[in-house]
Amino acid sequence: MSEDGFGEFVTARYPALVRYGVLLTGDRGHGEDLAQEALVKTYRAWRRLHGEGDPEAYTRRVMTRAAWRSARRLWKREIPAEAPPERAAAGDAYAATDTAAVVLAALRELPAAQRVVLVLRYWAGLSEQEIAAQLGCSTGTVKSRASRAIASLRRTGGPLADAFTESSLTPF
Amino acid sequence: MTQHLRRLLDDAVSGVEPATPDPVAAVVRRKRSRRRRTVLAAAVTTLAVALGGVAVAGSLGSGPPIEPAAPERPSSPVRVVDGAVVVGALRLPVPPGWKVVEDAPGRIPCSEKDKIVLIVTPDSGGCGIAGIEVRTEQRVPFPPAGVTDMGGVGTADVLSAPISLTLPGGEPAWLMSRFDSEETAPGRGESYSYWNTVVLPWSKVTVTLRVDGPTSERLVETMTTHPAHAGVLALPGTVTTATLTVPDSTGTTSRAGRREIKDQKTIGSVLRLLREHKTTVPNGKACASPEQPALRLELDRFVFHPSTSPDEPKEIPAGQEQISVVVTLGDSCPEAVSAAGGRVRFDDNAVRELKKLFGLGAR
Repeated sequence: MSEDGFGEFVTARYPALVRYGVLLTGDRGHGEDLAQEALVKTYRAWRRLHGEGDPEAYTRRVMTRAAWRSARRLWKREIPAEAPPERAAAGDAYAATDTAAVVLAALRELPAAQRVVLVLRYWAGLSEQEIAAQLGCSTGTVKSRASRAIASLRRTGGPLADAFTESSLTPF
Repeated sequence: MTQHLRRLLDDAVSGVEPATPDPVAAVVRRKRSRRRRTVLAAAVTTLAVALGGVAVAGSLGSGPPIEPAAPERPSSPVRVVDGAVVVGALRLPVPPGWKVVEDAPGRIPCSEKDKIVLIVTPDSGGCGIAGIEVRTEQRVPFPPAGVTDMGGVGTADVLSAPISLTLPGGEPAWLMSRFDSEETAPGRGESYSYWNTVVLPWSKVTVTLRVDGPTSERLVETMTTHPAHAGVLALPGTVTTATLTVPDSTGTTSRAGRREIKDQKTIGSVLRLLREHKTTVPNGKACASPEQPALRLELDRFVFHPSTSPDEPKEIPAGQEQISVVVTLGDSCPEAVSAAGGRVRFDDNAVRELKKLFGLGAR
């Protein structure tokens, strides 16, 4: 590793970035892949980031945009038509927690754009305008994706749907 | 209850541990292995292209030879000259009271929004809130979305044709939204984020406008262009997939109006039809306007880059690319514009023939 500090940064923040990737994709393998792809870009920009930037914020932003773009990408052959089957391997971290597995399965069922907006709004706590700015889209698009995500979750049921039903939450 | 939702999401991933024991080495390996993967892909795709070429040659018999692919053009540098942003054929005067900021990789340059003209290079990310963002692209930029979201798991979006525009001076441009559309209507309040894009395919430039429609229109009217890529349509030599999207009589794009073909013989006929049209539209006569409905034709091709390593083939594939051809319809100004360069007259008969090749003749 030729860039000072990059190895330390990755070692310290990699698990958190992978978890963020899992939320954005709903899939453990894709989430880790997303984190590594983003870190390759962070590595390339490391000199500037290390000196004056925020490498973690940069990496998360790259991950978010990549996950968002995957919903709008032209190369449809790169987008799985259906979410790939998730097999719980022996000792899989999710297997021990039924609720966690159900929540991730619900996330996986959402189209990528809806999942990204849902995570940014309700996990990252960003406002409609902040999400629109981060994704480079209109607030109307953010609203519609959030509404559809919540409608889909309510249709399929489960803990996420219950959370929306219990509360008087509207998308924004 | 947002906290409850967040806790559910947190709990869902709290037990996730990375599968990679040494992530630093994995990231470095991933960076290095890209090059190796492209070499392997080169062998596979070169073989595929060669076989495809044989098939096309066989099916076309003694027909015209396939022309070379549209040449790769480097993106233009962005300069600020005499109070204007200049890039490619475009000159965009900086509005009074606005300032120009240059983005850089890894930096988030916008601490304030509005009244900033942000110059974004291919390696940097932009800030998402600048009033005007001028972005150069390494590849021909994709026409602005015009996305009809069909929604649902497992369904792909259908991309309608972009809204065509001829900039002062004659450079073609493609818009995401009309200037008089509902989503760009003025007076939406501070919480609303305006967003429109103007793509200049020949110059490989995208201008993002985060202002309302009338302001966007005024900004576009101040642009001037000196196009350098008028002529017959520049088209890829080898196309793997061609996709045509046709609006219905009401101008609406739906799944029924989209057809994809992979048959090399039919693709050869499509390319031949496009090449037969040689009546070019000079810059001074170009007239495509937002009022016209349009067809969108996407031609997928392989893109190769010269190798810099003696251990690799002379050319390595950099992936796939779509060349877009947008055909504006109607009697007054029927034009076909290729994103790779070129603009020709394309009349109703040609449009009918094109639709027929895709099996969309009834639309």
